[in-house]
Amino acid sequence: MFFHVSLEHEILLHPRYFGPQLLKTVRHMLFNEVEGKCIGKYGYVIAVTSLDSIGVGMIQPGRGYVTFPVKYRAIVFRPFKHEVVEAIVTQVTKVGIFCKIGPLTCFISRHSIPRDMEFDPNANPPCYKKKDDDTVIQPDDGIRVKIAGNRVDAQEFFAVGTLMDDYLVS
Amino acid sequence: MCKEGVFNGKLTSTFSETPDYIALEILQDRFLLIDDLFMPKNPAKRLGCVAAQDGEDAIKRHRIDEREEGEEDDDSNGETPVAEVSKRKRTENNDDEPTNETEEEDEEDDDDEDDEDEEEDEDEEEEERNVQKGPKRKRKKISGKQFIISEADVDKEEEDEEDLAEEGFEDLFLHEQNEIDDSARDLYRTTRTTTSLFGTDDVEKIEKYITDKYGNKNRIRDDDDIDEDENVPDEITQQSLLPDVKSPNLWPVKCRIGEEKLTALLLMRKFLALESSDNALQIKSVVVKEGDRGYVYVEAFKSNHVKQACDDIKSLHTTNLQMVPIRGMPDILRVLKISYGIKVGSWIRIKRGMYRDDLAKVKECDMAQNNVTVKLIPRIDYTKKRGLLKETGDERTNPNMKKKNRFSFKRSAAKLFDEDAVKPLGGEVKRFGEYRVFEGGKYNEKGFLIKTFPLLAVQADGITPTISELEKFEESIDGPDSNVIVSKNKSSMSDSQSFAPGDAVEVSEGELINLQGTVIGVDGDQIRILPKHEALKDEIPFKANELRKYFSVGNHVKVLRGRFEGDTGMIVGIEGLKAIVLSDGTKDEMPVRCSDLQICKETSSGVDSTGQFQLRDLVNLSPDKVGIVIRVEKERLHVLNMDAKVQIVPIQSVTKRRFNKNAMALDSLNNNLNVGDIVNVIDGPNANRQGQIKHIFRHFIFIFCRTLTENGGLFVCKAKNLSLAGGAKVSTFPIMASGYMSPRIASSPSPHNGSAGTSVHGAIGSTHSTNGGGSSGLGNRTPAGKPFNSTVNVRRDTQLIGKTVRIKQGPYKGYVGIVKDATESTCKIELHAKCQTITVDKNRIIVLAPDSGDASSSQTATPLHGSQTPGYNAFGAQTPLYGSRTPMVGSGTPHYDGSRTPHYGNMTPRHEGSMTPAGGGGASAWDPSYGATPRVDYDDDEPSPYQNLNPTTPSYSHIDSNIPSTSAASASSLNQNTFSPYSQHTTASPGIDYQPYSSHIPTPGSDSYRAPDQSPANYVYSPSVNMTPVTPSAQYTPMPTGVDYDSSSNDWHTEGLVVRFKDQSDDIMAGSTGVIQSINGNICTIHVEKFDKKVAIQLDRIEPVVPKPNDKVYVIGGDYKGASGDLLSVDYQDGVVKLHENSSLDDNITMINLRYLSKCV
Repeated sequence: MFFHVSLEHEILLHPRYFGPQLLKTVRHMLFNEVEGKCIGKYGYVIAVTSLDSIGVGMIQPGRGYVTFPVKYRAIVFRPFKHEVVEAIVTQVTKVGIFCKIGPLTCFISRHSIPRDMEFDPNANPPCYKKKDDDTVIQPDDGIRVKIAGNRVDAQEFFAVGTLMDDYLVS
Repeated sequence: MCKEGVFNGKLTSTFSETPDYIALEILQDRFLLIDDLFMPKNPAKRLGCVAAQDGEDAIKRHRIDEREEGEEDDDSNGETPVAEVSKRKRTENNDDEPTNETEEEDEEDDDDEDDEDEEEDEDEEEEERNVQKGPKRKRKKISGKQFIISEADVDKEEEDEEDLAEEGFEDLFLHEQNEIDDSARDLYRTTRTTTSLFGTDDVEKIEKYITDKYGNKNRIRDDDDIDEDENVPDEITQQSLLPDVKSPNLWPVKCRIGEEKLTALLLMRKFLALESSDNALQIKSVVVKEGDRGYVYVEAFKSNHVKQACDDIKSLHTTNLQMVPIRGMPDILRVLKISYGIKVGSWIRIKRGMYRDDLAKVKECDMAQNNVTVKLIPRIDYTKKRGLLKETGDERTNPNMKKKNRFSFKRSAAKLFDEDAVKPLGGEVKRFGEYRVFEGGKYNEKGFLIKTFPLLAVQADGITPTISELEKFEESIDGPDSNVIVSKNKSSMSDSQSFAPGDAVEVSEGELINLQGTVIGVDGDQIRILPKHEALKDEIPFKANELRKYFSVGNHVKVLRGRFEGDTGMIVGIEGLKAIVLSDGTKDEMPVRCSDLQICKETSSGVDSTGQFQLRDLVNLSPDKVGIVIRVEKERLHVLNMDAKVQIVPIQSVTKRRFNKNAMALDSLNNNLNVGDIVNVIDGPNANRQGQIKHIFRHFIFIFCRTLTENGGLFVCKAKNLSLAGGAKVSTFPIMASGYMSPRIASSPSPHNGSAGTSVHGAIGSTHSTNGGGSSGLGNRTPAGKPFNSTVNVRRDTQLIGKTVRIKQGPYKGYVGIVKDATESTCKIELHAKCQTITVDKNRIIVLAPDSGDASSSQTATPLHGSQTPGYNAFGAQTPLYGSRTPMVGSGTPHYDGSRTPHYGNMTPRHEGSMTPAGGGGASAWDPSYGATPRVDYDDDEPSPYQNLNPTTPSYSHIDSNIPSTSAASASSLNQNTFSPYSQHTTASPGIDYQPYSSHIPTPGSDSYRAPDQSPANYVYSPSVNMTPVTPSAQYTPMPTGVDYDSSSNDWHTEGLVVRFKDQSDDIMAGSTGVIQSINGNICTIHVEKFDKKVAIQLDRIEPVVPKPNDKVYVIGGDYKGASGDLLSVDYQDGVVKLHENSSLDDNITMINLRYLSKCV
C-alpha cells in the first residue's frame, strides 16, 4: 500500500559543502540517502515529494561535520499481510515463484500455489501450468498475489505470497 | 486382610452376602470348575454341600461343625437377626471349648487384649470378636479365592489400594481365580442354604429368609450406596478404613529380586495347603508391590507368624524383620499411577540388561500387559560360536538374567543384525513372517532387533537422543511420528513457558478439541485462552498440554527444537502438524512440527550454537580443502566445498578460515577479482549467472547469487570462468556515499590552496573524486609508489604512506593522523588534531582501514599545494603518491606552469572549463557568456546522477578552444581522457588513458607512470563514472553556475517573462524586448511592446532580460528555480530577491545570481 507520509532524516554533511550551495547539497543528499531506501516502519521510500523544512545544522564537536535535521514528505510503499498486489514474476523454480512487487521481492511457495497448477520444468522458460486450461505462470508475467506474510530486514522487505485464493493469479 | 467390615457393619454384611448373590447368577457356569478346584481340597467339608439330603438339621449340625473348625461363619450375617444372635452364642460357646489349634488361641488372645483396651459395651465387643474371628478362620480354610477377595477388599479398607489391580497380569490372574473361587464358595453355600431351607416345610420361613436375604442384598450390593446413604463424605469413609492399632501389621520381607510375585503365590499355596492342618499360617495377606523390587509385604499380627510363613521359602529372608509403622502402611500400599504414556514412535532408553542405556524406538506399547515392544540395535556377539553354546546366547538376550553381572559383563557392540556374519558361527536364522529369528530375537529386514521389554525396564522420560544415535536409526528427529517424548512435567513446563499472551493456540485434546483461541494469560500450568467462537465469550482455562500452538501461513517463526533449532523463517505451508518454513538465511524449506515453532520477530543470525561459524563463512574441511557454510544446524554444518559438492560435517571437524580481504584472483580477462566484486559467470555449470564474490580461495571463487535457490544462493566457480561486471560494482550506494562523506576532499579547499584560486578547487575536487572511486583498488597506489622508491632511493614503507593511523601508545596515544612518510621502523604522522607532524615508532600505530583510500588522496592537500601550481595539484591528485611524495616532480618540471594546468584539470571528468586560469580569477566564471556547455539543468533537483554527467562532455571542447597552449597531441589525449571515464567502457583502453601523460612528462618519474598502465590503473578511472555525479566539486565551485543556462537551452522560458531578442538575429526585432505570451514547442509567441505586436520566434533566439532593482523577477535557474519575487537590490552579480513564497526561508529574502533571474511582468 502506498502512503504519503511525513518523515524525518538527518543529513550528515561534510564541512566542505559549507557555502552558497549548502542547502542544495542537503537536498541532494537527502534524495540520495532516502529515496529507494527501506525504512522498517514505513517501507520503501518511493519518492520525496516535498521538503518541509531543513532544520538548524548542528556542528558535531570535534569533527566539524554538521547534522541537519530534515523534515520531508515522501511517498512510501509498505506491503501488508493479506494485501493483494500485482507482481511481476522474476523466477520460477520447483520450490516456488519469485516475483517483484516494485522493490519488494516476494516468494510464493509451491505450497501456496493452487494444487492444480503444476511445475513444468521442461517448458522454456520453466513455468507453472494449469492442467485443464492454459493458464501459465512464467517469468515476466504479471500476476496477482496475496501477501501472506512479510519480514523486515535491515535493508529490505521480504514477503511470502500466496495464490490460494479467489481471483488471484490473473 | 481379614478385618473387612470390622469397623463397618455394612461392609461386613456385604462381604458375607456378596458371594451368595453372585452365586445365584453364575452358579451354573462355574459349577464344574468349582467342583474340581474346591471339592477335592476339603473332602471333609463336603458334608454341608453334599449332605443336602440330610435336611436342615444336618445342615445346622454341619454348620456348627464348620464353625468349630473355623470354616464358615459368613452365613451368620446373612441369617435373620434371631439366627445371628443364636449363632453368636454358639460362637462364644465354641470359643470356650478347648481347641487344638494353638494359633487360634493366640489369635483369640490378641483379640481379647484388644478388647480389654476397648470399650465396655458387651454387644459391640462380642460382635467385633465374632466378626474378627470369622474371617480369620475363614482364611484358614478358604482357598486362594478368598485370599484374593480379601486383597481386593483391602482396597476399600486401606485407602489407596484400588489400584492394586493394576499391578500386573498376575493380579489379573488372581482376580480370575478369585472369581472362580467366589463362585465355588457360593455354589457350595447356596446349595447348602437352599437345601437346608427347602428341607423345611415352613414356607413362611423360607419367604422371610428370601426377603431378608435378597431384599437386603439389593441394597447392599452396590457398595457405593453405603456411603451415599449415610451421607458421609468420601474422605471420611476412607479415613475409617485406614489401619489403626488393631489392624494387623505389615512386615516387609526381603525377597529375591524378580521372584516377588512367584513367592507371593507360593505363600498362598502354602497357606491353602496348611490351612486345615495344625500349623496353619497365621498371616493375613501377602502383598507384592509393583516396582518395589526385592520386597514382599506380609500382613500379620506378629513377626512370628511372618517367620513361620516364610520359613522354608528360600527366596525370602526373614532376618531383621521390621514392621511398617501404622502411618507408613497407606504409603506403602499406595499405588503410583504411571502418568506418562509411551507413544508409538517415541524414543526410550532401556534401563537394564544388556541393552542398558541403549536407545530404542517404540513400535508398540501394551499398557495392559505392561510391556512395550521396541526396535533397537542388537548387541550380538559375533565372536562366540553358536550351536552348542546357544543357551548362553539366549541368556544374553534376556536382560533380566544378566542383571547380576552386568557390570562385569562386557557387552558386545551395538550393530545391526548381520545374517551373513552369524551363519559361519553356526547360528541358525529362521524366517518368521517379515522377521528373521535368531536365538530368540526377532530382527527386521534392516537388522534391528524387535524386542518386548516390561514397562519397568525402560525409561521414557526426558529422552533426548543424540544425533549420532539417531543417525544409527537412520531417522531424522523431525519425522512426524518420531518426536522425542518429553515427560509430562517437563513438557508442561516448557509449554507453559513457551506460551505467551497473544499466541494463537488450538485445543489439542478434550471436548473442545480444535477450538482456536488466543492466549490471554498464563498462570503456571494454567493457560487462559479466549476462544474464537461465537458461542464462547468467556476465557477458558486449559492445561498447557491440552493446547498446541497454531500457526498460519506467513507467520515468521523460530524453530525451538529439532534439527533446525534456532533457525528462523516464514511459514509457507502447513501440512497437518507440520509446517513448512522457508528459512530466512538459506531460502530453503524446512519441515518442522508446529509444536517446535514459536512466533518471533527477529531473524536468525545464522550463527551456530558455539558462535563460531556463520552462514557463508569459509571453513577448512581439511588442510587443503575449504568450503563455504551454506547452512548451520544444531550440531552440523552444511558446507559447499570446492568441488561444488555439499558436505554435511559436524561442527567439531572443521575450523574457521581467516577472512582474507586481500585475496585476489584474475578473471578470464585478467581483471583482478576481489571479495565483494560483482562478477558474471561466462562458462561452466553456472554460466550466465551473476553474483557477488564472497570468498576467494586460490582460483576457486565462492559466489553468492540472489536468484539462485539452491545452497542458499551460493555456488563455486573457477576464476577463469568469470568476468568482472564492469559497472556493477560502482553502482552500489556506499561508494557514492563515500563520495559525499569522505574527508579526503576536505583537504582541497584547505587554506593552502589560496593561491590556486577557485578554479583549481574544482580540478582538485574532481580529480580527487576520481581517485576516491579508484581507491578500492589498491593497485593505483602501490604500483605507482614503488618506482618512486627506487628513484628516490629511500627505503620507505610505501604501503603505509598516506594511510590514516591512530597512535596507540605513548604521549600521543589516541591521536589520529595521516602517515606522511614511513621507514622500516618509524613513520611521520601529520596529526589531524594538532598542526604538527611527529615521528612515531611503527609499532605504536594502528592503521585505520576504512579510510585508507581516502586518506591517500587527502595527501594532495599537503602544503605542497600552496607552492605548486594549480596544475600540479590537479595532476598530482590523479596520482596522489606522485604528487605528494615527490616534491621534486613538482619543482622539477617546468611543464607544469599555470598555462598548462587546465589540461590536467580538464582531463578529469569534471568539465570545469572555467577552471582554467583565465577564468580562474573567479569573476569571469560568473559571466554568463562564459558558459559554453549546455548544462542547463545542473541545478535541477534531479537526483539521478547521470543527467548531471552528460552535459559535461561538451565542456571539453570549450576548453580546448580556449586554451591556446594546448598542443594537438594533448588535445587528442584529452579527448580520450575525457571520454573514457564517461563512456562506461571503463576498462576498454586503460593504456591509452595514461600514455598521453607519460609523453607529457619528461620527469624522471615518467617511467614510473607506465606501471599504472596495468590493470590496477583502471580503477583510477573506471569508478569515476559514478563518482563524478556526487562529487561536490561542481557544486562547490562557483563556476558551474556559469554554464548553467545557455541560450540554446529551452527550459527557462515561461510565459510572462520579459525577453530580449538576441543580437545575431538580423531581424529588426534584434535588441528589442518583449513578453512571452505563449510557448508552443520550440516556438514562442512574444508580445513586443515597442511595436505592439506579437511575434513568433524560435526559443533559442531570445534571452532573458536581466532585471533591475524593484523589478519583478522570475527565477529561471538555481535553487529557487520557478519562484517569483521582487528584486530588492543588486549586489555585484547577485540580486537580493524577496521571494513571494518559499517555505524553507524565514524571511523569504535570498541572494540569487543575476543570471538566474529574469525580469517578468
